[in-house]
Amino acid sequence: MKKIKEKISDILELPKDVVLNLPKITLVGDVQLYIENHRGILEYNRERVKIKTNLGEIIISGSDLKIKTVMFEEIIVEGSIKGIQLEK
Amino acid sequence: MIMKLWNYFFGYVIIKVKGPALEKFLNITVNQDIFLWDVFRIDKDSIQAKVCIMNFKKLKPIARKTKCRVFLVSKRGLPFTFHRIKKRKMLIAGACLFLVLLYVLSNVILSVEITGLESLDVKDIEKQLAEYGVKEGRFKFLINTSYIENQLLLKNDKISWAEIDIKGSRVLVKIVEKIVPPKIDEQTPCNIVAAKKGVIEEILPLKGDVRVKPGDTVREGQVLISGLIELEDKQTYFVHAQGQVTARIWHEETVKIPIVRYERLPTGRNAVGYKLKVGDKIINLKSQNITFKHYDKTITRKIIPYKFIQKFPIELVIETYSEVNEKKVFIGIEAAFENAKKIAVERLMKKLSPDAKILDKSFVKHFRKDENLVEVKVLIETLEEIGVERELNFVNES
Repeated sequence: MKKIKEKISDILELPKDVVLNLPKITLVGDVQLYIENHRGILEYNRERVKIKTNLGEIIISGSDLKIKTVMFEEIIVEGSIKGIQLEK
Repeated sequence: MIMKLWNYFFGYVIIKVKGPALEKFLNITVNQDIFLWDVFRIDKDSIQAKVCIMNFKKLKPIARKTKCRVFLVSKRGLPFTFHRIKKRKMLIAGACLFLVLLYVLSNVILSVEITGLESLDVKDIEKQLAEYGVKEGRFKFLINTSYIENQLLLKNDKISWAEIDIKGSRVLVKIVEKIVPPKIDEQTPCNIVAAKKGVIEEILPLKGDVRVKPGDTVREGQVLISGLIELEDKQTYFVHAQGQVTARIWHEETVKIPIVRYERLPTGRNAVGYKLKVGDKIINLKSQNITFKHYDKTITRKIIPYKFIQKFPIELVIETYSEVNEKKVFIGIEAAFENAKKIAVERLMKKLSPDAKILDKSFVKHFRKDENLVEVKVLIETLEEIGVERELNFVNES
């Protein structure tokens, strides 16, 4: 099923995050990170933010991390970001 | 940006949440569509966040569920600011009073200036204006300028034009007086004399003794129809002479124009000097050594405090020198002729009385090579009414 969807999105050139229900992560420099299509916050402190997505967990490490906004679909993390890790 | 303004208008609170499972608290608020922003961790078991006042109450059941406690840190935004100001009624009253006073006082007339009066009495005009509310201390919005202008014209025969202009708190009244020719009474004996020199074309006497005939050249002031009638029996009568006398009159105008014109183009470089004039003494505040070859000088005077006191002795004189480049432009002889002709005709037309009938126009062109000048002489022949009444002077006439 997933493979068919992927092929359709390939043929029709549809954005994969919409078709496959994947998170879309945008990084602005090392100061801001957008995550669209998330499933909730698992862990939050100044050094580490762990966010649940369909793909697995996204771990953002850095210092002075701050959640700028948190909404149902979107989360914005600000601070000085040092690493982003994807754990499947 | 828009979000911030929105939140400011509707008010938001800064909260502190304390508890063991803060991530759970955050997730539940998100799932219930409660918008949280600027979330950051204070220490191990507490975070700070901002939330709309509408959503603040919804946080309590979530906090109970997740065993967290919500503290209110501070209230921000317009609703809270209003609430705070509401308690200080005198402050609001003062602010309102200030605005009202500012509006009212800026509508009060502080000075009335009347210009253009020559023979009429200023006091009289001031009195008339005061009747319509144009007076110091009155409100300017009560003035109906066009109505007052018309009333001034109707009530004063000597005024031919009046304008009332309201500039801020000043009222400027401009008046132009009529120039009334001295009218001679129907009964008073008088002569008809020539107003200009010319050649008589036609005479239409109604009363009086005709002294000239068509074709005569008359000079200015010459008697055309006399009010002194001598009858056959050697008796003399004085009458009020009446009649129309038309004459051919030549108007001449010479205009010289150089064929080279100097254009002055500002270079953009300026120098400004300031002087303070106290009474008759001049104090140089900042003088300028002008190094420009050619320059235009403009002088502006500023009276401090502006117009409140007329003829205030302190004046600031600003002298601006702007450098200009002189540029020679060759106009050409033909173009210069045309130009000179145009100017000459225009000048003549201004001099002519409106009822003059133009009979002939001629031009004489002359180019003066040694002076680089063109000279145009314009001659216009007109037919005009030249007779004017003049009272008989008994000492000279008899």
